[in-house]
Parts: sequence; structure tokens; C-alpha cells
Amino acid sequence: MKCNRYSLLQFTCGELDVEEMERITAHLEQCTECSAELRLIARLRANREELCRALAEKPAGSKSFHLLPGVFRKGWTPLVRENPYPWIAAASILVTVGTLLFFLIHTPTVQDLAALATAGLPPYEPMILRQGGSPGSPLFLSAMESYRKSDLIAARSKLEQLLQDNPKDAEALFYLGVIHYHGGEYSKAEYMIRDGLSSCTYGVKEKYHWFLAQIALKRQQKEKARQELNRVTEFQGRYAAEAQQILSRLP
Amino acid sequence: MSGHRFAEQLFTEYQSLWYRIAYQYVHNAQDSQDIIQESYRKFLSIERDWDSLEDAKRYFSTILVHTSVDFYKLSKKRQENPLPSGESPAGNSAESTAWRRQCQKQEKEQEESILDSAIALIAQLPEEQKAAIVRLYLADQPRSLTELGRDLGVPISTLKSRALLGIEKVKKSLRKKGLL
Repeated sequence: MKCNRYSLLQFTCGELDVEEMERITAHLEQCTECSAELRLIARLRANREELCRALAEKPAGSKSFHLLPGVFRKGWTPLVRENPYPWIAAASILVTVGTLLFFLIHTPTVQDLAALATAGLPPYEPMILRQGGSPGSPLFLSAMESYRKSDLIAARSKLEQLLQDNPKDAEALFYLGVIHYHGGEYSKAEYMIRDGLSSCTYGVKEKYHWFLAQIALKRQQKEKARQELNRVTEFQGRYAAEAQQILSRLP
Repeated sequence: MSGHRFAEQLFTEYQSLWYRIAYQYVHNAQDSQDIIQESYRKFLSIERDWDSLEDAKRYFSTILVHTSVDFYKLSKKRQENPLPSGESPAGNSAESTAWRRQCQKQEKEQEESILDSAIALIAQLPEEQKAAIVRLYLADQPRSLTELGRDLGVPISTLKSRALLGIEKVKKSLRKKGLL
């Protein structure tokens, strides 16, 4: 068996089935490299309190400064000193920044895309049966009560609590995604809403696609937004007209 | 129904696997057996209705891995604070005691040096790799990869890649320094 570090990681988290564990254990008995990695992880875990304390005291190093030797001497560390080509790295950063600036200046539609995303907080529509969750879960109802009052912080913490018991609760994932979206955390929002969409086997999925389109617009992902908006129009539902309008304005 | 339902089957059919897994962590036969015993004790104390043997096996293996890590720490502590030489079964002479102490001192120094270097190296990692390592390996209460992925707002595969990249960097640097 070849080294499979992904399986080794799952092994260390105790998330493999027994057959796979058997294979990894047999491999560990022969492979010194993987065995050393396992021992390193065990060592880190065994000293987690000490490590966490030290990491909290130690400010994170900013590598971009260390790339210019002698200029920002204060932050010089052994890890970065191993870099044999600091000037090449610095030059490549300058080129990347320059290229980005060029595209920002010469792409007039970038600002327009984000401006097209205008979704507000969708109203909570109680259903008799919620997919993936208990119909009258008091915690969900309480979360939605906070959501209706625009107390998004309370709603968020209740929804997170709910997801600990049922990670595949589509409705909870959706509303948590919406809250993240309004907090400007687009990657988290996308992840949640996609997760909710894949768990949702009941009801209309229009709202999921609508918010995925909004996230794509905010993130300047034109093609992705177009794709999601097209899906929304297919439903011929509440958001169809607005989606059509945005599609016609997309550059 | 509690963990008793599948306990016997888990013990008889998979005992050798559990032993080998525990041994990978502690490299000591006695400790490996203690780990299995402690894991069974924890497993049997859980009041839960297991859907299947697979379910029970998965849960037991998670307990085993975490117990192994706890024992790893315990074994290191025992090395630092051994029994007085008079109570030790082997080597009562002053010379062997001095030699043993010297070895323990060296081991302790090396362990501290590895930890110090690991802290410095992890602190230097990019934020996302550091976050993945801290959440995955240094959390007080271990959580599943799915939960951690959701916390960080990334897919599980991204979480794994970040943690592995970080660990790889730490491992390589420790090896370069001759500490691993």
C-alpha cells in the first residue's frame, strides 16, 4: 500500500471504517515516514494545552515582510530564513499585485456585479414539515423568532446549536447561510447554502439558487451567477422576475 | 441498549487490530493493552443504542485513538518521573541509575526542543493552515471533520489539505533540524 496522507489524517481523527483502519495500521508498521507523522500528531495532541497557550502568546509572523532581507530584520525567523530566493519571491508578489491592479482598473463591470446583488433577508415561511428537522423543534422556532426580529446574532447561535444535533437540517443551513451572507462572509454562506441544497429533498429549491446567485454576484463570479439565475427563472417562482431582470443587466 | 450489545464481538473479532493501532501510538505492549482496556471501559459506559456493528466499531475506534493519545502523554510523564530506583525491577546499581537518569534527561530535553520548534513553526504557518491544525489536533473536545469544515466555512477536502500542508511543513523543518 502506498502512503495515503488523507487516510492517515482520518485515521488520527478516528474517522475511518475498520477495514480501512486495518490497511493503514499494516502500512504504518512498514512505513517510517507515516509512522513519524502519526507520532508527531500524537505529540502535538498530547501537549495541546501547552501548544495552545504558546500559540496564543506568539503573534503570527507576517511572511511578506520577511521576504525582504535586512529591511524588516525584526521579524526574521528561522523558518523564513530557509527561503533561498527571497528577491524572486518579492518580485513575483510585485508582478501579481501589478497584474491585479491592471485588471481592476481595466474591468469596469466589477463594481456593477456586486451592485446587482440586492437580496434582503428572506421571510421565514413556516412549513408543516421541515425537511431534515423535527416539524416543531422549539430551538428552530426560537431561532426563527430571533430572525424575524432581525436579531441575527441570537438566530445564528441557535441555528448553530441546532446543526450540532442535526448537521443536515436543510432549513437551518439555509438561514444560517443567509445570515453569513448578510454578514459579508460569502464563502461560509456559499458552503452552508450548498450543503442545505444537497440535503433538501423536499419543497422548492428556488431560494437556495437565488442566494447562491447573490453570493456569486458579490464575489464577482459572472458565469456562476448567470448559471444560478437561470436555475431560478426555471422555477417560475417568487424570484423569477427579479432574476430575469438581473440576467438582462449582466455584462 | 448500551454498548454491551456489540462489545463481545468487538473484543473477540478485532482485538488484534485494536492492539496494533494502540501500539502505533505508544510503542509499548503493556500500555497498548491498558489502552484497549480503558477504551472498553469508556465504550461500555456509554448509554447508546448502536444501529449496527459498523456504527459501534466506528465509535470504538474513535475512543481508542483518543485514549491512545492520552496514554502517550501519560507514558511521557512516567518517563520524566520514574519509580525510585529501589522499586525498579531492573538495575539497582548506582551506575545504571545514573545512566538511566542521564537518558531521561536527554529525552526530556529533546521532547522540549521538539515542542518549542513545533510551536515556532506552527506560529509561522499561513493563517488558514494554522487554523486547520489548531482546530483538528489541538481542540479540547475533538469534533468531526464535517463539523470543523462547517465552522471554518470550507469543504472537508480543503480542511484536510490545509492541515496536511501545515503538518508537512512542520515535519520537514523538524527533520532538517534533526529533531524527528
